[in-house]
Amino acid sequence: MAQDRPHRPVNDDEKSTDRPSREQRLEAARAVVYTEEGDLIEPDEIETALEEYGVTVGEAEDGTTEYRHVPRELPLSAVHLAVDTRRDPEEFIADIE
Amino acid sequence: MAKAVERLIGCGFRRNQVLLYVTPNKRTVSEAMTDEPREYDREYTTYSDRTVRTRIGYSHEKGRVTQFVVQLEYELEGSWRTVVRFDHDEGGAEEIVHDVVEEGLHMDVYRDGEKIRTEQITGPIPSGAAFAHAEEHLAEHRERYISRFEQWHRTDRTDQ
Repeated sequence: MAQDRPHRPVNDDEKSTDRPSREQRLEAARAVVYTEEGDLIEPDEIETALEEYGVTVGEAEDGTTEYRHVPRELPLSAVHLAVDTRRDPEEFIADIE
Repeated sequence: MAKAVERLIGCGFRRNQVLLYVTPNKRTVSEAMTDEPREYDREYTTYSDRTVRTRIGYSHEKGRVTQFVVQLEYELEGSWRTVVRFDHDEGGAEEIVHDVVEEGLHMDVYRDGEKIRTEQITGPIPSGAAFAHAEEHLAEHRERYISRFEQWHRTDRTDQ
C-alpha cells in the first residue's frame, strides 16, 4: 500500500522552485493507485490511499471532497483518472515544457 | 450552428455576463461558470492556503475524459474569485467551449470578475493529458498568477 512505498513529500518552501520530474510524478501516482499486489485500487479507496500518502482529506461546504497538504510531486488528476478509467497513470502525466 | 441551437436549453445573466446553458452529452455547463464547477462525474478542491484554492471537475466515458474544468480561485472580500481557468468539453456548443484535442489547452485569465484574455498553453493534446497538464501548470505557476491577481486587485494574503 501507499504507506509502504518510498516517497518524500515536498515541503512548502520547495513548492515553487523544485519541479518534480515526470518520473517522480509517475512514481508518486503509482504509489497511490496500486496495491502491494500490483492491482489498481477501487474508486472508493482513493481517499484512504491519498491519506496514507500524506494528503489531508476532508469535505468542503458544498459536499465535494477537499484536499490539503498535497505533496508537490503527486498529480491528483492522474491519480483520479487512473483509478476511474482503470488505466496506468502514465497515460495522464504529460511532459511539461 | 444547428448543433449549437439544438443543445441550447436556456440562458441567464450574472455579473454582467450572459450565461448560456447547454447540454453537452449528459452534463450542463455554462461559459461563465466561475462559481460553480459542478455537475461532473468527480469534483474536488485543493487548498494551497487559506485564501487560494483550485476547484477541479471532470467527467469521463469509456476511458476518455469528455469534460474537465480546473479553476484557480482567490478569496477576496468574502467571495471566491476566479484567477485563471482551464476547461475542455468535447461535446459542447463550439461557440462557448474548448475541445483540447482539436484546439489545444487554453487558459482563461480573469480580472475584476471578467475574462480578459485567453492564453494558449499547448497544441492539440489528448484530453486526459491536458487535464493533468493543467494541474501541473498551475502547480508550477500558481504563485505568479496569484501575485498578479493581488496586484490587479490591490490586495495580498496578509491583508485578510
